[in-house]
Amino acid sequence: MINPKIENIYVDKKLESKEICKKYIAKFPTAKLIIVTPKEKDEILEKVSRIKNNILITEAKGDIFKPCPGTDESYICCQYWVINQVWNCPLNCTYCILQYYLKSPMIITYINYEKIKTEITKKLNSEPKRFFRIGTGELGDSLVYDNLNKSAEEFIKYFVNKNNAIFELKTKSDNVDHLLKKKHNGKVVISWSLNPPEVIMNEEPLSAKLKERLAAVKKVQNAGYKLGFHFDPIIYYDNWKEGYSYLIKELFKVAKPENITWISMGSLRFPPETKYKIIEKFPKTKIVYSEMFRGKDNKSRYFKPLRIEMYKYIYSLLSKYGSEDLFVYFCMEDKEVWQEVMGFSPENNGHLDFLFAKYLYNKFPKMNIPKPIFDSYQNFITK
Amino acid sequence: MKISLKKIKSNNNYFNYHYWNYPFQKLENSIINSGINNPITLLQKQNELIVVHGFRRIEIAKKLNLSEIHVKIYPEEKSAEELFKGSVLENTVNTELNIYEKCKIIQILNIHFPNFDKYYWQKLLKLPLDKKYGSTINSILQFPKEWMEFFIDKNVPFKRIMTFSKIKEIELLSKLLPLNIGLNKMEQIFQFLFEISKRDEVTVKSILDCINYETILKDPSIEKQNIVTILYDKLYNLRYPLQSEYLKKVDTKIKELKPINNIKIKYDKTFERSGINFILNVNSKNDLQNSIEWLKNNTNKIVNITEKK
Repeated sequence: MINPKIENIYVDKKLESKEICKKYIAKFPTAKLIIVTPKEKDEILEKVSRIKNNILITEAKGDIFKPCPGTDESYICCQYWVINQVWNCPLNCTYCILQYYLKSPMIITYINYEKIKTEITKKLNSEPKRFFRIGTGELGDSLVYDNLNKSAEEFIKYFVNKNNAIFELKTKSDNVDHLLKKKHNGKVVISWSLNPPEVIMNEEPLSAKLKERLAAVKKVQNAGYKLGFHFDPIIYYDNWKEGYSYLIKELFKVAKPENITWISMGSLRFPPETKYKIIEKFPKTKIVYSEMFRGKDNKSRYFKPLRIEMYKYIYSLLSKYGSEDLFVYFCMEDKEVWQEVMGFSPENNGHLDFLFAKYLYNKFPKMNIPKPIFDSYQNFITK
Repeated sequence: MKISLKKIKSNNNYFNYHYWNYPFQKLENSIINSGINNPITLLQKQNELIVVHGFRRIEIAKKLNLSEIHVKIYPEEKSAEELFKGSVLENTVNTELNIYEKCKIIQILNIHFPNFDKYYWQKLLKLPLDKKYGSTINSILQFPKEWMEFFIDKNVPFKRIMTFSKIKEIELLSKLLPLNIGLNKMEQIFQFLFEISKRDEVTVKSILDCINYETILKDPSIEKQNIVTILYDKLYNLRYPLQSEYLKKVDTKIKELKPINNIKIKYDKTFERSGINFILNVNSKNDLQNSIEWLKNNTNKIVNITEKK
């Protein structure tokens, strides 16, 4: 993985003495350390414009633990829960909407873990019969700076004894060495967003190469972590069949299906106006010139029959090279796509949430997951 | 003071941003009737008199064979940028500058006053002045005359002209101008050309050859108003080949259905929303019975469309 360049590290005045600040300075010795008061913090958030080159270490004021926003109700969403502890990502993937969608002009790391944990505990206790899938990789990469933040460690320790939750760290990095000896009780999924090498080279150039990611998969698997994989965004290009075929063959040379919790599929999508921002920022990328149309959620998506073709193909490869017993789901797709590709469709978001719990309950009995009841999950529908 | 017109050199165009192809008859008539009331602004630079403001008046004075002209000469120490700003301000009081003039002003500022106040000029000209737009401004100034007039006539805003500026071979498309295509359609044609050329790494010329652009334009059997539709459809098919293929298949099947008059068939052409909509226009019991009858008789064909699309 290529180390992104950091120019300024802004630290909230009251966190100045924390270990994490020293680690960031050691990691980026040429970066300028700037201690800021709360007022100055608000000012720099207004002024600083170069997102990727600045980090702010601070405390969160509002809620950090939230249901994944998902998308329009026309599409099935999985009712995932997110800990928005890191905002923004330095990896600069061409298609990533974070760089266009997040208004904060820098990478923000919130380190008031106790407050975040209290929020989570409150929710977990309020619905003890529900099984929660919770992760930190929604508004940033879970692991890219985690050897400095140690936030994964904080959350791993927290989730070790929680029966009604599983914690996911989602990444495109290979930054896992600091986690290998941590006690996790099988309650942690480390997952990778995957794409064929040519897509990584063109669209995710700063992230870890496929070989590096798979080497990291091997390490965490040996350390007993559960695995997850996200084929998202699936990118259409001339040789996509060969590319995804190679990717999946390589993946299952390393990943054992019995350790895999879930695999998601989702194709490239973004708000239509983002197209012009991508062209402006990444003039060489071709991803925006595919056949894309406005979906029911107003996001640009690949032509639906093309999406279905790609999903069918990838799904068949997962069954062929992995296992027929994998839990494969779609991120933000409608019932028709589910039906066409998988031969069935969840009735609603609660149903999909239930299917996750049921699959994990059956596959990983040692996790002591509360036995999922379909009707209960109908009450857990968040959208 | 008045000076001889001969003292003002005609190649003295440092600060000239006017688009000359546009007539200024009104000003000419005013000069014929009342003479030149406002003095020309000149800047004394060593032995040279540089025109800052009043290019059109000088041009008209020459045309009318006037020997002298009323001027105000500023010494070299006077800020040329301030004088230029004054000139632009005066011209923007009553009229909106066209896109050529705005871009030309930016070019002049970049050349002569590289440290100009970007915020001020951005607000005055209503033009984005980030570096990233620099190449667009240069492209606009290079546009062939016929295209510049199209943009000025249609008062096309800068951001929309950006679509046109992406096509370097714009003169190849000049033959579209006499077809009186609306701005939206023209913009889409350019957008398609740009996106196809980027996606397939081909030149615009080769795309135009592929759709038989020249042949279609010359074909006497095609009516003028149909040329645009034909070219547009061909480009659309190239830009969205998969969707076009699907649409063709579904449309053929719908045509084969031969729906009765009071039934209209609609469907989402992006195929994002599944299903076919049958809209029944019912004015009588008979209409309703016929519609139901028709739907019953065509059940298999209808299912075939929805399933195979």
